[in-house]
Amino acid sequence: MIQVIADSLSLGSVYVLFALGLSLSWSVLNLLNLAYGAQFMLGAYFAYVIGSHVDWPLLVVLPAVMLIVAATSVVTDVLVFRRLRTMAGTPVESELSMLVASIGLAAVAVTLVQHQTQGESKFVPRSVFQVKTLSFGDKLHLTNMQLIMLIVTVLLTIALAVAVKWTRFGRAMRGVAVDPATCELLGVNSNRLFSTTIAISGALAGLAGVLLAIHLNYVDSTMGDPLLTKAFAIIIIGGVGSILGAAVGGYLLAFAEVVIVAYGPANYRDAIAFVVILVVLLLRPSGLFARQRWERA
Amino acid sequence: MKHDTKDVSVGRPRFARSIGIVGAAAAAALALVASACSPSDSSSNSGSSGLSGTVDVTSIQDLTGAVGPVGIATQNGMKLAEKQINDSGMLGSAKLKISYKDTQTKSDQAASLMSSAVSTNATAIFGPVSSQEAVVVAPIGQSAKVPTIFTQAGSEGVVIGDYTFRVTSPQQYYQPKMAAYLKDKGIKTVSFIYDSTVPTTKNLTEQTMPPLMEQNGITIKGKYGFQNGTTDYSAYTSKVVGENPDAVGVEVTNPEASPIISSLRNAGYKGLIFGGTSFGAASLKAAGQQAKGAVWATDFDPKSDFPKTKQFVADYTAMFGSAPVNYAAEGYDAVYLLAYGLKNASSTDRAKVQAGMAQAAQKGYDGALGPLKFEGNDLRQDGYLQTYDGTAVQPVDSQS
Amino acid sequence: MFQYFSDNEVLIQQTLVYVLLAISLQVVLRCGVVSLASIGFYTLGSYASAILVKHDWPPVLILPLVVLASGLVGYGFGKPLARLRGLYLAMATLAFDLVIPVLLINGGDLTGGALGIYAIPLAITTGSLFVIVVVVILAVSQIERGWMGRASLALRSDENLARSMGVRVTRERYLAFAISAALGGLAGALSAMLFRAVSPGNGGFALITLGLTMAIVGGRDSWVGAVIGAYLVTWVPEWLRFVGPYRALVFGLVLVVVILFFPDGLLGAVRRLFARSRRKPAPATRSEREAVPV
Repeated sequence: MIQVIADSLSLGSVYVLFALGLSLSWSVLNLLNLAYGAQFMLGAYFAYVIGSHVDWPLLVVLPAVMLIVAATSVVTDVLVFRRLRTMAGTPVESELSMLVASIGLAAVAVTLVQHQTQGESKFVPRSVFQVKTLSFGDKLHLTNMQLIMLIVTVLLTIALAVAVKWTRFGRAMRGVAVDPATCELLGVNSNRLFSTTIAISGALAGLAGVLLAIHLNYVDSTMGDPLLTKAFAIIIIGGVGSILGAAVGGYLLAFAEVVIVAYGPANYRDAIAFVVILVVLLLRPSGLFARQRWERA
Repeated sequence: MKHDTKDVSVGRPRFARSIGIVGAAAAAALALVASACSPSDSSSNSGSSGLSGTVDVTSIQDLTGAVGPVGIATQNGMKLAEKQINDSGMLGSAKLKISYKDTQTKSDQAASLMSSAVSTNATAIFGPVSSQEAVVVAPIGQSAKVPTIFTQAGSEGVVIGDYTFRVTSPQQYYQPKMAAYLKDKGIKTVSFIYDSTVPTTKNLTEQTMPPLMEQNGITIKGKYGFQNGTTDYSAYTSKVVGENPDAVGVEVTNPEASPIISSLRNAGYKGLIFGGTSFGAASLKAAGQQAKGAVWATDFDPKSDFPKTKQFVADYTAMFGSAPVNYAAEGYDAVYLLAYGLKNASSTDRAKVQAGMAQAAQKGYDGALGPLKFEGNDLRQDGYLQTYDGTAVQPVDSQS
Repeated sequence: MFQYFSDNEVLIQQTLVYVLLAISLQVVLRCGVVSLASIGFYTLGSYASAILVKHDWPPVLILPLVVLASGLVGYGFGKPLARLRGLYLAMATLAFDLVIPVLLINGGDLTGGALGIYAIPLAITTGSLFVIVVVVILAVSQIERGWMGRASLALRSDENLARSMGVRVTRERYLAFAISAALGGLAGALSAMLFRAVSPGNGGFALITLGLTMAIVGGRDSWVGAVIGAYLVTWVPEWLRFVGPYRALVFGLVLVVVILFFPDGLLGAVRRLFARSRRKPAPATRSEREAVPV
């Protein structure tokens, strides 16, 4: 049982760490960024590339990769998303075009990496980080990376939640999502704010990419896609707009999945996430934790 | 000159057939005009005896997409064979010309390419490695009576008639050797982690293994299937480790091998890990030392002393600059099956080539994979056991 | 000419089926309903058709059955999904589309598991397919030219405004769902009969991307856009064979470029070129939007 809890915490950290950046961009910017999975993958990929050429440790590779992926976010925002926001007639149009554009961008990134790797899967070299197992007796086995992920996830969640809710920057972000026109009148440069937020989201994607690639011992051009759907699930469970909600949702979903493998029909594990999305959206669309119930026209 | 096109009946109802008849007349007229206008010799396709000119063959392969690496390796082996057959003059003055196409690992592309190919004058067609596409392509080839040759594609519904051939033994035929090895090592309990979305690994674990394990006195403690695309395996590996079996069977696809082995070791498993043909130097590299001692059965032993194998490895390395994997050996042997068939038939008539190939299969021949024996049109091998020493693949001392 | 037709018959069939799929997405997108559910119905329809054809049911029974069933379920979805807007709706329908392959893989002998169902006897001709597509196009254009057309334009711009004008918003949404689902199911059912194999991998994310590409690149506003989109998506890979492994990249770039510079799709661009008078008002610019009291 204790191993089940440990696995849930580990899996939950995987999901939540991945979902944080997506939650930020969705809840704050109304941007359902389907290229997020590709950005995550880029984080993993660059960790592999850098690690294969130089002997830098994790503490150096990590910020380097985060910077690179954040840069991709800013570039795509300035070149693509900004224009789409300006052109769109209604919020729905804007969201739809950004959604579709993000799909196209994801395809570009994934294909490039696929070509570079010849479709083979790679891994982050041990010179960047050496995974070691810590055993507590016979019943509990955990790796150092799993612990790191857990700690990083919890810290980041709290930091983000606090930032979004209580700092001026956070308030500005949320304001821009609801009514950019008024914010502009109040002196907020909404375009710059958008870019900054999406850069943070990208940096988080990169962070998740590096850590997960080390934990899973796996780098592949398609590694972002399966996680993307889990991320949707937990953001919806927790409620869009609530970072804490997404975190709680993530650990809950992980727990459900681990339990079903440990005690039940393991084959249906993946169906859980989707069914959860459907059920929550149908019964309680604002999620478990959303403080406000948006009825957006 | 007769065009095969409209004689191909793929079970089309009347309407299409009537268009077909009109089309045949038009095509025949065009062909007459074309052959009158162009003096150059194009491939002979009517039952003229003796081989000459170019023998046109099409290869429909997964070169991009999920199984791209497998398809590309296979294609490399085919190219080597094509070159050697032409250089050696095995087909007399005739030259083999394979036209290589990409399915993008999509069934509809495969179907489209296959339908086009059967309506050309291709003497034979090589099919894709993916089972899901092979079962779509096989009926088209069979009903069009075009010799269709597959490698990999180990599920049912591929070798469905006398015109379909497969030059890769279905994995279940290697497993008796694997099971005997386990028994030899004193293994009494086993658990399986497998990819339940891939037909080959699913059937292997759920159908092939249980009776074999039982025969060898081994109890299966559990079988845990996961979906392709699972990223974190800790839930599965913890469960398996908790059961503490003597050995763990990991029946998965190439990219999944290392992550699962790492996860097993990280979860504290210290026992024997064994697997299927997805294990290999490339797929185990990420796990590295954690995969040391892993054992698997495969259809190709590059270190074998078998003369044909040694020659193949040398020639392949010379041509491509890296050592061949089993997929390349399969592609190589598949082209040779066709070559022997052509030689036996001494013609490019499809029916005669089919008979020639069946004859070659019945006799068997020596290939890169080793001495080849067929059951009907399907290859049978009892496999080679290989192990990983942490950096390279070594054969487990086995005969054959 | 006939030679070309029969050599490329599979591609032509593919294009026709995709036209239906593209239209099924357009129907909802035109109403401002961001539903991707028709993809899921495509997969379900293809499996239903595969199973029934193998049990010797004739197409003339299967097709109406699939259309009716999909339409009814689609209409039924309308109610719980009615409250969802924009991204939430997209999310819910995305989840629906993605859960179906998982269920199918675990369907045991009925669905053939991971391998799917294959060796389905050929059940329909290209000619009949063409006729069906033409009928669908006519039907959809009629519906759109009538009351639903005006209603959907209003719905897309501003729902509250539409409601105040007397448009029965909820009923329009249910109908849009129903038609979209029915067309998706029909396209799927036909695909099983023509390509004679179905597998769980046929649906999912790849098909969603494909469908959206067709609906948007061609032009959202009319079935002509669907035809353009379907044609491009099927035939461009043929022309781009030399591009080889970069295919997906080219598609992605095209998608981004079209969305950026031709929001009305290629059809819209062509129309603008000829500057014909159009029913649809030009998309509001930012200043226009601000002028309308919210």
